Amino acid sequence: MSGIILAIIIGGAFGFTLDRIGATNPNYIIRMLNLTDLHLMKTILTGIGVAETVHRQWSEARFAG
Amino acid sequence: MTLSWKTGGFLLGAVFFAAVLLVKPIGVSTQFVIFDGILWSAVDPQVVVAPTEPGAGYTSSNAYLAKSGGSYAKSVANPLNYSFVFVLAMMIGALVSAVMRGGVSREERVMPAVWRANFGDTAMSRYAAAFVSGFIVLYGARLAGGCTSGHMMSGIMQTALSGYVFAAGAFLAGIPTALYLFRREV
Repeated sequence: MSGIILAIIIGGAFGFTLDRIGATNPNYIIRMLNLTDLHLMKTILTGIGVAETVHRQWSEARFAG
Repeated sequence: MTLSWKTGGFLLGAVFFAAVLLVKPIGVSTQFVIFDGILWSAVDPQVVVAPTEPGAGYTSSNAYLAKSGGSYAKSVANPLNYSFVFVLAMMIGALVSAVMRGGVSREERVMPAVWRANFGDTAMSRYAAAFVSGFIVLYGARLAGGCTSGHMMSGIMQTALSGYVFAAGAFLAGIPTALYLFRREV
């Protein structure tokens, strides 16, 4: 049951964020791919970078301790 | 209005990390298979076979649903699982955000402005292209074992090699295609 609640919270936050960064708008996706507006690309790469950095720190702390 | 790339990127990263920390990496495209399986087993209940003895897993007459120890078949039999509810919640979350920022105009719901500028105003040609493109994207995602969420974002954040290969492949194919198809700007 707690898994379902987490699914609703994290899934809802993910969808909400995707909409707020413009990833639900085909105009932004197309303009990213035809290289006329790289805003979405910058957002996604920043997101991956933030998640990767935090994940790395967290794994190192967890496995060191 | 869309967020700046800094704020948006930070938020996106926070959600991805929260998912890994609390449950597991985000993935979306597998749930299309689960949904297909739910529809299929509604028509033909024999597609998914429940475990016959304690300790055994679910299985299926379909090799794809039976793979990975029957984990797909199990999800088809129990749609109220984390990954499936996650994708439903994702759609609702995006809807809530869209409604809160004033909704999407009727014109944009039919087709995006950049499509209209390049291919005209016919709704049916947009829908036909969206259907064919959706088919190709989903076929590719299942062939690759994941989509943009699973491979590129969840994959690269864990420094999985497959994530980098997927990202390179997606942009190598996507950029020339978009440059060729969408020459006119809005």
